[in-house]
Amino acid sequence: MKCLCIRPKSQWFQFVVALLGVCLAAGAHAQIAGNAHPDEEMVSGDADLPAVVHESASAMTPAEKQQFSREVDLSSLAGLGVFHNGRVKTLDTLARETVVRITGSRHYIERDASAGDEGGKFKYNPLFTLWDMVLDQSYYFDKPLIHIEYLPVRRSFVRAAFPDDTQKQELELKRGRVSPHVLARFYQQLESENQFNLEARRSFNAIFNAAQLFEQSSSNLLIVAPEERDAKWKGLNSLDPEDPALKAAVDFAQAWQSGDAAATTSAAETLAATLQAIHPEIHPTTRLNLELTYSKLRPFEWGFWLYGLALISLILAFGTGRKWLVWFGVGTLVAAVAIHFTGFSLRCIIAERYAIQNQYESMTGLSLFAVLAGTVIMLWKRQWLFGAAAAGVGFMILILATQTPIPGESVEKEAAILNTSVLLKYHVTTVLLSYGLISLGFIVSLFYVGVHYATKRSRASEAPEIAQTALGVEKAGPQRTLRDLDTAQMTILQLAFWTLGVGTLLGAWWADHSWGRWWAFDPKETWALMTWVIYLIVIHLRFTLTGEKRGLVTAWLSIVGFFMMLWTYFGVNLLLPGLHAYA
Amino acid sequence: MSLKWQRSKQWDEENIPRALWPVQAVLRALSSIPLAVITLVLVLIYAVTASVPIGLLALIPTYAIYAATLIGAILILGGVPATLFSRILKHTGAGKGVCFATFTLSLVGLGVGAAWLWWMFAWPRLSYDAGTGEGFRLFAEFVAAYDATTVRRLPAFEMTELEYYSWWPFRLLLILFVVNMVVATVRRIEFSFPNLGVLTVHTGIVVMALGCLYYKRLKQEGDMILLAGQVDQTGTPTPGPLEDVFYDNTELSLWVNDGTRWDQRQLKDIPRYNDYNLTAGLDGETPGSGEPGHGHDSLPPLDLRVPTSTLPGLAGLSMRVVGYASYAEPVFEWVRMPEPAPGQTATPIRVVSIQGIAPDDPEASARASLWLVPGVPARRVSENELFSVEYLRNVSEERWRDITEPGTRRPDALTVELPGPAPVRETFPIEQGTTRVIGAFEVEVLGILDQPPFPIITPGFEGATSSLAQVKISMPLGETRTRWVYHRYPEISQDFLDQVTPSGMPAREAADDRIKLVYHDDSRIFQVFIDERDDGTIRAAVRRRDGTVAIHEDLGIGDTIPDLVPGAVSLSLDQAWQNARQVEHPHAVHEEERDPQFIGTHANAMLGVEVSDESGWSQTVWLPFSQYMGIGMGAERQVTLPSGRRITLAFGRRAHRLADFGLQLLDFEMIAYDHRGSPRDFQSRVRVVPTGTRDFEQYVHITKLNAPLQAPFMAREELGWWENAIGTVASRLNPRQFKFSQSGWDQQGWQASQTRVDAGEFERPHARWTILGVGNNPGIHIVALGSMLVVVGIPWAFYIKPLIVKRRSNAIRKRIQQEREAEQSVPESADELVESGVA
Repeated sequence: MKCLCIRPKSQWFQFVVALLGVCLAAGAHAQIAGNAHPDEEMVSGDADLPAVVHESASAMTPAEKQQFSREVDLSSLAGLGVFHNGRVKTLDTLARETVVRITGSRHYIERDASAGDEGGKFKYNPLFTLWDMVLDQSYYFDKPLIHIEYLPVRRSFVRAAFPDDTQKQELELKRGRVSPHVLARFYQQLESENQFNLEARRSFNAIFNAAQLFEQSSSNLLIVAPEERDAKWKGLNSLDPEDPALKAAVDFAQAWQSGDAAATTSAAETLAATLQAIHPEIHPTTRLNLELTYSKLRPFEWGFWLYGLALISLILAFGTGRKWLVWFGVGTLVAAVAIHFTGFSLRCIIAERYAIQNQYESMTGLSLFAVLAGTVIMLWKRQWLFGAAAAGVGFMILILATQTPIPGESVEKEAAILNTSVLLKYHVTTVLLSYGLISLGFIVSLFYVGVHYATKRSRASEAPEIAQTALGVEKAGPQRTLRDLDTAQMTILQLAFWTLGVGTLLGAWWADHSWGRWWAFDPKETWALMTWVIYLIVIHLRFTLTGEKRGLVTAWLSIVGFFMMLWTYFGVNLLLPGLHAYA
Repeated sequence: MSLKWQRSKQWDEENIPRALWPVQAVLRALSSIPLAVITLVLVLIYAVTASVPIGLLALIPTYAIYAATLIGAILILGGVPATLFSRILKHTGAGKGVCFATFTLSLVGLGVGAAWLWWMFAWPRLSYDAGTGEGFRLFAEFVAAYDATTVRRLPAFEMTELEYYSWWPFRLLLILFVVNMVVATVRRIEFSFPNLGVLTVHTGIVVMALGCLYYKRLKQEGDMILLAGQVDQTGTPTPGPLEDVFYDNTELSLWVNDGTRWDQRQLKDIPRYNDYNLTAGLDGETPGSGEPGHGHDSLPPLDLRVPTSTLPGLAGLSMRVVGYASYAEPVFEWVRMPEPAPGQTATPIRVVSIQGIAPDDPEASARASLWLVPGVPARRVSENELFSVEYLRNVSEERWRDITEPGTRRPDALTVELPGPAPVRETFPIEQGTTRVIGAFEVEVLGILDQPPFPIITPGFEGATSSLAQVKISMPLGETRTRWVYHRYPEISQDFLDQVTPSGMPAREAADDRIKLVYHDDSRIFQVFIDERDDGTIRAAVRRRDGTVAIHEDLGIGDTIPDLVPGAVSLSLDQAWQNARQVEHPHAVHEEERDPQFIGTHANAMLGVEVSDESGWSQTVWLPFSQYMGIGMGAERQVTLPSGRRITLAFGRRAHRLADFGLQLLDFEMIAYDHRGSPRDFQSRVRVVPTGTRDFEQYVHITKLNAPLQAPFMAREELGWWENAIGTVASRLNPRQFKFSQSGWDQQGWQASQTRVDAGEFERPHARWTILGVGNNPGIHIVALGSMLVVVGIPWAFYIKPLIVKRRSNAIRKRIQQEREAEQSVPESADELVESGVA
C-alpha cells in the first residue's frame, strides 16, 4: 500500500517512493529482451533548486496569480533545452507533458478571478504552471490540481472531502480534479478500501504518479548542458555559486516569488541566455526550435480541421455540382496534406527517428500514407471521390489520435527491438499503408452501398447524380455509375490487398531474421493474415457473382475488412496478449 | 465461365463413366470457387476461436446495443430533422443544391450534437463498470469469467496458439484449400501469358505449403541460458562454461534420477491453462477442512502415462501424471496417517484455532487454524507480532513454573535463580545494559535480539528460532561468561567462555547450573503455552503483556480457552492426530494475481506425479516447474522407495543437445538510451566452439537484437564469396543449422553490479547470464520462394493482365470492325471475350 503525504521535499515521501522502487525490482523477472516500450520516467532527474531559493507559504491570491501570469513573459525560456525521459526536449514540451499528466488537460484552469462571479475560466500557460509548481508549490496545496480519471475513485474522494455538501460534490465531480491536501488526507484510506478493485488500483497508481510528479517537478529541471554529448545533463544546483546562470536562476526565483512580473521576465531572459552559454555546442538549437514550432503549430489538429472542411466541401460539391466547391475541397485537401506532412516530418526530426513507433505515431503515419495514396489516385484518375475518401480518412484518424487519450502523443524513445532494424521500418510502413488503403476503400465502399440502396429505394434518387459528380462522369445511367464505383473500390482494395500481403511477409522476413521464426501465430500476425483473407475472399467471390451483386458483395466485404483491420490495429494490441506489445 | 472450365466439364462427361458419379461430384466440388470461399470463411472462424476470448465474443451483443443507441440517437436527433429541413426547403422551391447542402450540413451538425448528447447522458448510464456492476452489459458474469479464455484454453483443448493451428481440423482445412486451389487452377485457368499472375500466385502458395511441411517436420525451437564466468577485479567476466543444450519452447519432460544420472522422459498432452486434481496425494483427511480437497473436488482427474525410464535404478517403477496446477504456489499440508509400523516414528500434530470477534459487532469474526507438531521444536510454535501459541508435551514442573512466572508489565524480563540450600529467585525487567547483582553473581544484559544472529544448528532444533537475551555473567570467582538465553528453548541455552578454541572460535559449553536464567519475551499481546501430558490431560498458561498469567487446568480436545483478549479472542483445542505426514501440494494463485505473460507457459505450474511399484505401493509428489534444469535449484523433489532408496524427480522443458557445437558467453553488455535509462540494445559476445564430428574453426560473434548468431555456419568476411553463398543456401536446408537471437538478460544482476560500480568496487557492470532464443529454420528458403512468387504474381494479376487484356481486346475490336459489315454491331465487351479465353 502506498501512502501519500504531500509535503514539499518530504523525506518520508521519498522513502516511500524508494521503497516502492525496491519492491518492484524484487519482483522483476527476466523479460523478452527489447520487446516492450521503454519505461516512461515521470521524474527522470535529480535536479533541485539552488539551496538559496527557499520555499515559503504562497502569498498570492488567485487574482494576483492570474494577473502575474498575464504580465510575465516566459517565451525566452520556452525553447531552452532540458533533458527528460531519455532525450533533450524544450522546456515548453516538458511543461506541456507535466501539466497534462498532473491535471489531465492541456492547461491548469482556474475560475477567472477578474471576471467576477459570472466569470469564465482562466487557462494558465503550461510553462508558467511548471515554474509556479516549482517556485510557489504551496499555492496549489488546496487547489483542485490532480486529475482523477476513473469516476468511482473520483467520487470516493469527493464524498470523503465534502461529506455533507452535495452541491460541492457535484461541482468537484465535474471538475475531475482534487487538491493535493484532499489526496494527502484520504488517499491511504480510500486506496485500502479499493484494493481489490483492479480498475481502482490502476487509478490510484495514476494518482500517485501525478502527485509524485507535482511534488518533484523541480527534479526534472535538468537544464545545464554537460561537457560531452553523451554525459548527463544537470540541475541548477550543480552550478558553481559564482556561475552567472545560478545567479540568474536565483534572481528569477526571487522575482517570481515576489510577484514582480517585469523583473521575472528580465531574469528569465538572463537565465535563458546564461544557460545557453554553458556548452552551447551541446544544445541542439535547430531541433529545439523545430520542436517549439511543432508544439505551437499543432499540425495534426489543424490537419483534422482542414480534412473535415475538405470532406464537407467535396460532399457538398458532389451534391450541388458546384465546380468551385470541388476546387475548394481539393485545395483544402492539399493544404491539409501539406500541414499533415509537415507535422509528420517535424516529429521525425524531433524524435531523431522514423516516427511510426507507437500508437499515436502510427495513426498519424497511417493517415498520411492513406491521404497521399488517395490524393495521388484522385489526381491520376481525376475522380474526386478518392479525394473525399482521403479527406474522410485523414479527418477520422487524426481526430481520434489528437482528441482521445491514444498513448504516445509525447515524443518518446522507441522499443529496442524497433530501434535496431531497418527492415522492420519497411514492414511497419507497408502495413500502415495497407491499413490506410483499407480505410480509403471502406469509405468508397460505403459510398457504393449508399448509392446502391438509394438507387434501389427511390425512383427519383439523386444518389447516382452525386456519384457521377464524384466520379467525374456525366449523364451515365445508374448501372454504369455503380460499375464505375465498383472499379473505384477495387482500385483501392487491390492495392490494399497487395500491400498488406507484402507488409505481412516483410514482417515474417524480419521475424525470421531476428527471432529465428518466421511465423508464430501471434494474434497480430494471425489477424493481419485474417484481414488479408477477407480480401482473398472478395477476389474469389467476384468470380462467382455477376452484375450488381458483385459490386455490392465486394462493398460489404470491404466494410467487414475495415472493421477486421480496426480489430487487428487496435483490438489485438489492447485486448490480446502477444509479441506486438509495441505496435 | 472460362472456356477451359467448359472443356474440363466436357472431358468429365466424356471420360468419367456414369457409375463413377461420386468421383465426378468430388472433382467438381474441388474445382469450385465457392469451396475456396467456404474454406476461407472456415479458416476465419477458426482463427477467431484461436485468439479471441469467448468472454469478449459474448460482449458483441452488448456493444451492438451500445452502437444501436448511438446510431439511433444520431438518426432521430440528426437524420430526421435534417430530412425534414430538406423536404421543407424542397417544397418552398429551393434548388437541389441548396436542399442537399442543407441536408448535409444539418445532418453533420445535428449528428455531432446528438452524439455529444449521447456521450453526456446515455453513455454514463450504459457504460459498464466491472468494479461496481453499474451500467449495462449482457452476460456480465460470463464475460467476467471468460474474459481471457479462448476456446483453445478450455479443458477439452489445452493448446497454445501454435498447437491449435497445428491441430488436425485446421490442417484439414488448409489441405482442402490447397487441393481445391490446385484442382481449380488446372481445370479452370488457361495456362496463358495474361494468366501468368494468378498462376504464379497459386504456384507460390503451393511452394509455401510444401516449404511449411518440411519446415514443420524438422523445426526445433527453444532457448538456452549461457552463464558468464567469474568476474575479475574490474568487473570483466571471464569466458563462461561451454553450453550445448537448449530447452524446447513447448515440449516437456519429466526428469528422473536414480542416483547415477538424469534421464528425461518426454511428457505429452500435459495441460497448460487449467487445473486438474489439485488434491492428488492428499488422499487422507486434512485438518483444514476435515476433508480432502479444500473445495477442489470439482476439478477433473488426470491420468497420463510417463514413458518408462531405462535407468537401472528405476526398474520395476512406473510413473503417471495424476495432477496439474497451471499457476500455483507450493504449500505444505498435513495429512492424517495410520499408526506407524513398529520401529517407525509417529508424527503427532495438534490443531488449535484462534477465534476473534469484534467487540462492537458479534457478526464480524475471524478464525485461524494452527497446526502444531509438539514433538518438533521448530513446528511446535506459531507466532506473529501480536500473539504466539506453543504446544508442548510433558513439560517439567520447573519449566512450567518459569512459564507461569508473572510478568513485569515490560516487554522483556529475566528470571535469575540460584539453586542450592538457600535458593534465590528473582524476576526483573531488562533492557540492553541492565545490570544486577544477585548473590555472588552479577548479570549484565548485553543485548536482546528478536532472533539468534546465526541459525540454530543444535540437532532436533533445526529451523527453530526464538528471541533471546545475551547476558554476561560474572561468576563468584571473577571469571565471566556470556549466556545466550532463549525465550522458547531454555534447554539449548549455552555459555560462551572468554577462551577461544584452537580454530579461533569462542569456547562454549552447556549453561552452568550454578545460575539459572530464564528470559521472558512479553512483547506480544498474549502468549499461550499448552502442555499436554501422557495421561491425556491438558493445561494451558496465557501470558499477557500486562504481566498477568492465567492458568487453565484439566482441558481436553474440544475445549476452549476464553478471553485471551477479554471479550474478543479465544482459542479452541480442535483436533489431535496421533500420526500425520506433511505433503507438498499446489495452492492455485488467484486469477487476478497471475501475471498474464506467464499464463500457459508452465512457468508457475506444478505437476503431480504418482510413483508406484509392482507391490502396489505408490506415492504422489508435486513438482514445481524448472525453466532450466540445474539452474534455480530447488525444483527437484525426492521420493523414498519402500526399499529406503531415494530417487529424484523434476518437471521441466525437454532438452535438446546441439549436435555439432557449443556456445560460450564471453561478455554481455546492455546499451542504454541515455546514461542508465531504458535499454536500447543488448549484446552477448559469444564464441562458437565445435564439439561434434563436424569440424570448423571456432569463431566469435556479437549477438544483438536484430543481429542473431548463426551456427555452425555463419557467413563471414574471412570466407570467400562462393563459400559464403553456398554455405548460406545449404545451411538454410540443414535442420542442424541454428539461429541464436538475443532473448533475455540478467536485469537484476546488471543493476546490482551497476550499484557496485557506483560504489567504486568495479569499473564496469556485468551480467551473470544471458538467454538466447534458439531455432532452426529448415527449408525457410522454400517458403521465401513461395512468398516471392505470391508477391510478384499479385501485381501481374491486378495490373499487368488488365493491360494485356485491354490491348488484345482493342486488337480484337479492330479486327472485328475490319471484318464485319459496317452495320454489324461490336460485342459490348471485348474484354469478356479475352477473359473467357477466346483470345
